[in-house]
Amino acid sequence: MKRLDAILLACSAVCMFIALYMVFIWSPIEVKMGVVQKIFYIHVSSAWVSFLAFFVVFICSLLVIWKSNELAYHIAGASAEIGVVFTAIVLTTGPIWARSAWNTWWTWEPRLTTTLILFFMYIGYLLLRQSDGERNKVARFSSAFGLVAFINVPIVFMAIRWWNSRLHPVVFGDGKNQKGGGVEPEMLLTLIVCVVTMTFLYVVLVRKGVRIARMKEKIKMYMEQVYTHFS
Amino acid sequence: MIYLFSAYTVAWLIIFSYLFLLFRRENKIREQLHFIEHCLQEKKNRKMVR
Repeated sequence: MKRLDAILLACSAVCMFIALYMVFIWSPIEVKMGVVQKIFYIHVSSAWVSFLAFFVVFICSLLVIWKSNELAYHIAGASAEIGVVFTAIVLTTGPIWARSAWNTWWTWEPRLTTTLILFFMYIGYLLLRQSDGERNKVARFSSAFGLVAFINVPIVFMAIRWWNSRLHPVVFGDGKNQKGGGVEPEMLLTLIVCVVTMTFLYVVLVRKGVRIARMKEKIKMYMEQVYTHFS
Repeated sequence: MIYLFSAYTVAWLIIFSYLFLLFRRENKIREQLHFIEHCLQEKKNRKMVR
């Protein structure tokens, strides 16, 4: 187990160096925006990880409701936390990019608004998991919330395609009033390397989160043993 | 350039802060777990001596 963790950590570290080299040195500078466009790589790859994390929460929530799976409950918790962290990155790098490209930090545009709602929904999910009460009930309630919250993920993705988004560009595919511009092959390759790097990091973080949750569970079990012994 | 620098700094700060928190949380829980296991083991040993 520890060896696999070390391999994953080494892979993500190596990928990180390659990704940084590709982002800052290898990939071409965009003509219109200049170097600021390079924010795209961390912004999009973080968004990818948050979507992946929330999808994992969705699948694990299904498993918790359907089969009362303990491991799935721990994975869902760790994954939701990571999703929130990476959505926070999206929500901070986005406005910095927007300030330079659109001359404003924030605008209540569909993509930005739905992303903010997504962020708050999963904070709600994490808070629900912390609530007091019978463990099975808390697990079922929070898992039901995890299922409902996932509805927002495709909405965030499709927001710029469904609604009239004047600012946020559609890069891949076509939007309602705009055609996707696509990216240069070098930029696409750099983005793929960044996405792979972030995915490795996600796997490392989930494994760590699950290990912590299991240790917490063990402590709880020991404490119950002590409690029953003295009562 | 300042925007690019700020964006990457903020992103890496968030990632490393989360990693730091995770490692600290793990160490704290591991210490607690070792302490409880040690206490329970000692109790078992005492019972066996009696």
